Amino acid sequence: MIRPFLQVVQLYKKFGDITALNNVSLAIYPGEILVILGENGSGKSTLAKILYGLYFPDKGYIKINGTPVIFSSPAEAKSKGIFLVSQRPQLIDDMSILENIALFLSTSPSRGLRKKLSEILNYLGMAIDVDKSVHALSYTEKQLVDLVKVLLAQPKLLIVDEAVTYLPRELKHKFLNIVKGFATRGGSVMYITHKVVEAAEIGDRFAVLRRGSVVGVFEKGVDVSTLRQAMFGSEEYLTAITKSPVQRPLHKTPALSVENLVVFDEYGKPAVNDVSLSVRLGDVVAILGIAGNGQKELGEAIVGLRKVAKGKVLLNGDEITHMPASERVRRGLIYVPEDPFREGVAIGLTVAENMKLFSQSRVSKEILETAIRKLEVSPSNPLISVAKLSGGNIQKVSLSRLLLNTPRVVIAYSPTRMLDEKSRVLILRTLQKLAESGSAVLLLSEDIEEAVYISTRIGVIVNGKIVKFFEGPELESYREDIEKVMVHA
Amino acid sequence: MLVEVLKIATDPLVVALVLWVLGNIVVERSGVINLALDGIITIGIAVAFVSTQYFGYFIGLLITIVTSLAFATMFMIFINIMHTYHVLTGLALNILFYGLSALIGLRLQKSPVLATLTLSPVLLALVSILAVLFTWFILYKTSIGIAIRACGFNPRASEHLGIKVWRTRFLASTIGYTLAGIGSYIYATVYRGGWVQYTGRGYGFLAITLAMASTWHPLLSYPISLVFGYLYTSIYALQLLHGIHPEIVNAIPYVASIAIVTIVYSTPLHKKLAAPRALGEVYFKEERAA
Ligand SMILES: Nc1ncnc2c1ncn2[C@@H]1O[C@H](COP(=O)(O)OP(=O)(O)OP(=O)(O)O)[C@@H](O)[C@H]1O
Ligand SMILES: [Mg+2]
Repeated sequence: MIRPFLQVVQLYKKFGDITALNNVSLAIYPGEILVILGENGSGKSTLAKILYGLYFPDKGYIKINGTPVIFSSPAEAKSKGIFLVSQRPQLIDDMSILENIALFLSTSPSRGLRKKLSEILNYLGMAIDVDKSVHALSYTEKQLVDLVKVLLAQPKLLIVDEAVTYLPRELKHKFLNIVKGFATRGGSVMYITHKVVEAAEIGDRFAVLRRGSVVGVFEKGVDVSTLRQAMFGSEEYLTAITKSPVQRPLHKTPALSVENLVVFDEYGKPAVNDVSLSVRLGDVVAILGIAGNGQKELGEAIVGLRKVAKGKVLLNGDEITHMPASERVRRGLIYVPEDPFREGVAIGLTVAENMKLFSQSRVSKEILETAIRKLEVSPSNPLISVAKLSGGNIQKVSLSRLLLNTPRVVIAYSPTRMLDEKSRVLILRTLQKLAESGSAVLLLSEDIEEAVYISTRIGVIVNGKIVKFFEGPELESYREDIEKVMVHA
Repeated sequence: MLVEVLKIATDPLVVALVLWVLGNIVVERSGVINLALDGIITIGIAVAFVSTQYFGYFIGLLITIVTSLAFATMFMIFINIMHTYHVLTGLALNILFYGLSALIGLRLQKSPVLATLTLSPVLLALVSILAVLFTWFILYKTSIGIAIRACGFNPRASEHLGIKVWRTRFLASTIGYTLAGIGSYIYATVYRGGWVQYTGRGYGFLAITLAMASTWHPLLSYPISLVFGYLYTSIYALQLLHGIHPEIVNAIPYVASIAIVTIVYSTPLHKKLAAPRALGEVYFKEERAA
């Protein structure tokens, strides 16, 4: 019997009166990939943070190779070979990629490091300039840099908290292969994700958390529905979404149209290059592309957060190209931004305060509670500060703006990121319903799955240009074509 | 013109100012608003003056540095361990430090004057230029410096990256206040050669302002310090020659720093000259923050 590399023993962690971890005991063996599953707010990140020295457990302890250890900071966890890639990229925005990596490796940004970094980025097929400042990267690119930094270190236990989940497919495969290779050579991996099917493929063992307790540990070969049962208690939610037959949109005139739009990025290069599109009421149009191809800038330009260099944006036939964002909101444009933490919510305010901000008017207690209940925000207390919520629950609060308004036009960037399967279905269904009841929905996405699920039309964006539109009742069948265009246009 | 520049660059007052500004840059780059600087400079000057009278120039220098470090450490303990507000702590400590400086100077001085230390102008200029290069090298080319700047940008992400934030800040204050201590020493022994109550008070705020005007960049801080050093050392000449009131000259650094900061932040320059974004943020570890 081999000895576990790391054991957690009867771990408890409470935040105020919320129990995040309740008597959690687990072991991670050398050479295995242990997948941690659980719905939003079940305690996965808390467990990861304790192992990385960010949080201190109230009770219980950690053993490494049989010896109890206490971490009072990530620096100490790192010195024992434990590395965490967080759910939310944790980088210094004002510094370059190279400097961030140097920081993590506690070295200086030397030529040697620059070379090593470029090599690994090349291998991954990422042509990012390592002197680029991190703030100019998209969320997914930041996540990539966050991952690359641990590949340059020598971890013994690698904890990945959802950081691989939303990478572009090819890149994800490369990463997963690296991770598997690392495990084969005797390393341990703790892998946190919401994609159950994917997890089932790569995991050696599975631990399911529910409300802070381990409710099951499964061996390789377990079927997906057993895992789902353990996570949610049922899998009925899966049937809640049906691919609604494409209805003919109610109106002929577009609610939102964009004509020959050109938008520049932070470095004065065109991020959106001559894009035209239109969304009619009742439509769900998706603009799909690998991160960093201009979706973000497109969305920001439409809602007025970024200057339009050329072209026009029209809302209900009126030109809004240079209108302030607040005026666009007043006219029924709702934006779900990419980074929920920074752009989606006011993190220090309470859930209720955020929701009041979203609705721009008085919100009755009932409306608040209905939104919280519908989205299953947990904990459900509206007076709790958003900073205290788990990643997925923060995203849910950001998404509550969809329920608190009757939007004419919705622009949503990766709205299901960080959500568990159940909530994901719920949000996709919500967007679908909004379209059915007469809104226009523009989905900006990096995830082909969610796009084919609910869209009536998919435009693929590459290097700031929409290279092809796919249309028709069976978008599902174009999947491979779409994927090819995304990657190789 | 060249003669003028050389005169400024070798002026001991300007050299002291350069060191104070550099010291402040290192500390504030780590994210701590360094208002206690003024008090610590005032104490440093008093200590340099008194200790040199007792122990001579060299030991006087060491004592000045050690004292500056001790009081800086006290300031850092308040901010990083007790998590007090930077501005309030700095202001409150200043009042204490002014008082202490008076006490030290008045009680312990042997006489109100000190034979000034004569250093060659070349050596003085060299000290300040080396200090500029040293600070720049530390901040931009070493792992310690990157960690210091990271804490000033985003202490939380720094913690995630494996940096011990409070330790890094203590380190920054050690580097910064060593420079500042040398500055106070040069002011007391080379420039002033005498002491009255509150000698040097106000220079700390000037240094803080000049650091801001140079967007906390050591290389930029040098020319800027020279320009303001020139204005300072020629207050009387300017008044005599052009009838400019000294009050106006005194206000120039403050007005100019506001102007420079405005220019930097309203143009793309701010991408090149990123300021310590988290300056003054009271930083807790994550679990206590929420
Ligand atoms: N710093 C904190 N302060 C207060 N409560 C917290 C804090 N961090 C986590 N919690 C609470 O602990 C519980 C578990 O959170 P955790 O982030 O571990 O969930 P998770 O499983 O990672 O969820 P998700 O899938 O949404 O990321 C949640 O109820 C959350 O609100
Ligand atoms: Mg989480």
